[in-house]
Amino acid sequence: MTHRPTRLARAARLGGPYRAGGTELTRLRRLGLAEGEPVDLRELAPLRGIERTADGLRIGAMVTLRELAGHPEVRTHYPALAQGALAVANPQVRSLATVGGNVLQQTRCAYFTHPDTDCLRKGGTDCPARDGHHAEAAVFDVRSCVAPHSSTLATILACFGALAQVTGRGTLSLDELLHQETTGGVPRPVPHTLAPGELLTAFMLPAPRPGERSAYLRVSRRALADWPLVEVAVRCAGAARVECVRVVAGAVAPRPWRLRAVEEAVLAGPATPDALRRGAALATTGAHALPGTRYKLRQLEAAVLAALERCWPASQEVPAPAR
Amino acid sequence: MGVERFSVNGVERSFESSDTDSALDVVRDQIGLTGAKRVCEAGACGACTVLVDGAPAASCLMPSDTLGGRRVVTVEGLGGGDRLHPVQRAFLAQDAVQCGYCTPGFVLAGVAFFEDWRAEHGTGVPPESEIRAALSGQLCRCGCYLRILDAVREACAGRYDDGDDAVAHRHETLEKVTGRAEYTTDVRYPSQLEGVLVTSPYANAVVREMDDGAAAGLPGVRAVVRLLPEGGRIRHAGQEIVAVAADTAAAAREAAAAVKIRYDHSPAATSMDAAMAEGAPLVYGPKDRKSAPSAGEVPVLFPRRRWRGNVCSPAPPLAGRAARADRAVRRAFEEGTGAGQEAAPRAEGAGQGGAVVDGVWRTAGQSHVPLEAHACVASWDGDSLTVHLSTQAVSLVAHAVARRWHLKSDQVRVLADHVGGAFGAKQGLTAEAVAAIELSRASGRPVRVVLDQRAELAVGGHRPASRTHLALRTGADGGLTALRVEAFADTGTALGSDIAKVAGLLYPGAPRTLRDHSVVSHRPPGKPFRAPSGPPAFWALEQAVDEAAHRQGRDPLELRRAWDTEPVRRRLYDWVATATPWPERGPVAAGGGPVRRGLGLAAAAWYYYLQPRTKVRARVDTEGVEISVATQEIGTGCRSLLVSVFADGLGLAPGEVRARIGDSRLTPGPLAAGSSTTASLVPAAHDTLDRLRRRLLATATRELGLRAAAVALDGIRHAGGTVTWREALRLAAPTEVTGRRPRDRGRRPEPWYSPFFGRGQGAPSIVQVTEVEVDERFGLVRVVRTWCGLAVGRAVRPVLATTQCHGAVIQSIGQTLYEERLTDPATGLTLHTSLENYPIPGIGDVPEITVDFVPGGFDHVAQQAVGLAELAALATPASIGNAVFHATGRRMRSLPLDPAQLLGEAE
Repeated sequence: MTHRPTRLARAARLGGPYRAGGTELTRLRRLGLAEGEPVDLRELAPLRGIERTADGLRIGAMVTLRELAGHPEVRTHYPALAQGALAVANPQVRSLATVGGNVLQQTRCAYFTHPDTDCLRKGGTDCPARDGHHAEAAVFDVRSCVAPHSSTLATILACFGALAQVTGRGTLSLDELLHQETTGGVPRPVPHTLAPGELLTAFMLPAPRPGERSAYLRVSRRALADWPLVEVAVRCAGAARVECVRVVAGAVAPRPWRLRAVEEAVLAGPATPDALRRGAALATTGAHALPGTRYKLRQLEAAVLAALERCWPASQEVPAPAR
Repeated sequence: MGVERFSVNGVERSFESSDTDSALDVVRDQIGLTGAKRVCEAGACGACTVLVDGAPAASCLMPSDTLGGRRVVTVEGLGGGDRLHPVQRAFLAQDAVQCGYCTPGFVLAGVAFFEDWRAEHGTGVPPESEIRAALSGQLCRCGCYLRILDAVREACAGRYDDGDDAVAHRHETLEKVTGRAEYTTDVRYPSQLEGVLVTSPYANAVVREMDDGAAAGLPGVRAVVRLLPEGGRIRHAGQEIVAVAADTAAAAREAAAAVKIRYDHSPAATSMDAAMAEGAPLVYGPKDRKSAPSAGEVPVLFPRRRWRGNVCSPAPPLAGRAARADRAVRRAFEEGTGAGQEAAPRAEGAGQGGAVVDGVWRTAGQSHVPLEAHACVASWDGDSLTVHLSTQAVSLVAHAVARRWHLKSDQVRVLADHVGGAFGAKQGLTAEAVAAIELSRASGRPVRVVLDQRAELAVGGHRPASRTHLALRTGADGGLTALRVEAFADTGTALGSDIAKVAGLLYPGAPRTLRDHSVVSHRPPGKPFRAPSGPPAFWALEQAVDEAAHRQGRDPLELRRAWDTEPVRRRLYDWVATATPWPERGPVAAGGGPVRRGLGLAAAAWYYYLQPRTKVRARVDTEGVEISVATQEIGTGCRSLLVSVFADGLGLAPGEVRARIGDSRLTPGPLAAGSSTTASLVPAAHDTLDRLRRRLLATATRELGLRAAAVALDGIRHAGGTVTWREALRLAAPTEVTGRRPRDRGRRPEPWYSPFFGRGQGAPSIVQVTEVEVDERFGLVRVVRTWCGLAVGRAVRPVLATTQCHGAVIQSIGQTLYEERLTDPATGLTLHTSLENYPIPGIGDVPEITVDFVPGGFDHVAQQAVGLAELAALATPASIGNAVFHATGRRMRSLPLDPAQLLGEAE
């Protein structure tokens, strides 16, 4: 029996497993990895809708990707978010899947998805992808599970400095929402840090600064409806000079990965092609590629450069990835 | 569980919701709207798409208890009354359907786009990029995307708003665009059970003990059948051990999970390298090698073969022509720079004596993954057995079933009305059929067994990966003086590969040594896949030839003209010079910047196979003409070929001719293999037509007392005028004639592996020019445009033939750029679980494709009817590889062309 709470407190007491659009929970239940009666969230008004607030935009966790990608406010003021939403999955999934579900989703690693394998996320003792096939693995912080976080929206929301509203925990950064370390300092191989009963209700996006621009760049093998190998979101302001910039990469780490070295290198400097190139060259600072993922370092650097160039176009047009 | 209400196709109705069922379970299984197909169950393929409140939704991921109060439209509910929706009409008219299994999803996504577009833009023509984006969630394994794009665009533009006069290019399109076509997965008898297979998680093991008692005692379980005895050997993960039938699929899955099996498992050889290593665990002992299935198009016929560990090789020739060629090849290479057996790619000048181009070429395994999985519904009635099977061989399977279960041929009937793709994977009696038949016998009820997509990807079939050492030697004049090809195919537990042999099909004349090895490993068996062994052969050969041209500073087209004496292909080389942009091709790696364009050329040839015993029956009754033959439609359009022969030949509308196929009880007909369906059916159909016309002439002459009557194009001419064929048919009804495929003129076809399957004279050929864009920043290749010139005698139905070529090219683009079967090295498990993580090309990846049929050749074949389904799959990989070289100056040696390789960062 599916529970359909109408009040947040009741939903929190039920403890989950929570169901938003159902696309992720359906998958996990088929894998036998989400026990219990589903707690459906669609009757909860606070989780719905996109609205302007005093200091920015509030996006309910139950907003579908289809709504998000088509929302005029999002398209105008947070274009990278609209572009990213439109790049996720395909139309018939986007009409079901939600912002909250996308951000909190489990890994798509084949070893996790295969029912006959064990892995750290399924209670196993090691990561079979490390010595097995891992061409889609992370290149930063691969100390435990090598799978990258699968959420495109998390990457872009992190770039916009969005804060998650979570019942019982107040507001959390994307990092706090998605990343937790064990006592040994190694990341826990979990998709998010929410405990049973903690409910993600919305993301708060700060209002864009004057002259703010953003870009989202996705590198995937197939042109449409494919998972990214590398993705980069950039938010910035300034014309000839880089007044502010934030660069976050996705599909390369267990959580959205902020490229601070790039930001620091270009901040306050001139936005010339050379300066941007020098900045992008620092994209892989601190990376640790596995044997099968070295190519991602090249892609990451190129993607960061292309995204920066989109924000500060030189005289000629920057080609989109040839996909 | 609860009873809820929703609107389906405009009708309010109640349904049982539950927290475990999906919307697909409700729509397809509960309500019986089987136009919504169950394929990937991961939201990746779009086959289950329905419209929910107007928007396309993946019903496989939508919980059933969220359907209440919603407005759902399925493909069955489109249009009004007996009027089709304009998008459906456009699919008919644009030939936008092959096997048809993905069609309902595409039609619904197209309709959703159409309605949005019309609301905003009226009958403006939508940009292609928008249509591609709207259809990006639908996958088509046949590769029908270009036709679908045309259909949706033309429908939006208003071309199909009016009239119901759209002419379908295919006999069964109407059933397919309306969801009425019944595939094996859609068959449902009253009291039918669902069967589920228990498979091995181990790759190399012995089944020690099985306890299926608990499973058999669970509620709803009706039969448990062992497919492997205790003590039975497991040779690959995913091998079937036990089958369970229960009232519902959920109950059967639960019972399957309750079967306890104890294994003795051992280390397994899970890759070709591991299988070839010193001391590798053996897959077959000397006694059980004969049990290995075939990975090739025909059974394994090694007259003399030699096993070394897991490698099965032909014994070297001792005498005769092959031995002399061997010696000549050895001499030719010794004269060169001493290019020996080393694996490192090399291409060096060899002093004044010409050059040696020597290299190792690899291809990854490619899964067939037809959208309709292997599926069977078996039903015993006393000693008689009806088998609905998703198969490309109704007759052959009926024979195999009769043999295995000791039945007379009239006790077995195999039916396949529509088949949702096959590509070579559905030729034999496979586990799902054995399980369904045994479970039905044990339970006394009809049983359906359908592989889920994980099983389909693991054991459903794949083209073996390969490693080919190819060396060619050129003389001082630049001519080809010797060719040496040694190919290792990664065949899993199967045997059989012809890569080297196929590489010897082009450039006749020079001596050659061609050796093919099968490397067996503890992985699922390879199966014949559209042109078995072909793509790896030409991937190696045609890039080596390109390399030789580059070394000599010659135009690759000119080099092929100099080397290739086959008249059919020489016409194709002329076609390249006039019909493609090849003559304007610039120097290698000329473009600057990170995104570069390149143009590549490749040639290929294939065999002309035919099934000489094919017969076709025509029955005339009061409703018209019915053509029947025991063949099956897997997306090639063979019903339409049959209908067109008789409609054209008798001046009838296509609707007046009915084609009955997909039934093993009909007149013996061809299996869909070796591109032989057209070459078998069309000549036989024409023979039947001739016989029928003679019969009509005789009847009309007698009944009407005609004088000087003779067969003419439009009917029977006689002294007093003309009797139309329609009139003559009326006079003759009821009557029946059976024609047979006439022999080819000239030399007889060489019987291949049975009297039913032969190889005729002549080599169907293709030359292909492809333009690519290489993004050096990200290591990505996009195919921009490709031109295919085919020499196949005469394309019988050019529209259908073109559609089929599109499909072959698109599947090959998948093989070239994306597809790679991954096996976990530690466990031997196939890692792919659905089309979410096995990447086949989508609508965004499809280039513009030009297909030209260059007429001529094959005059010895009746109607010059020669098949092309495999031929069109041969040249794409090498034409892309050569184009990448042209763009970048770098030679790629492994398929697929993944970013790691393109960025020079491969492991």
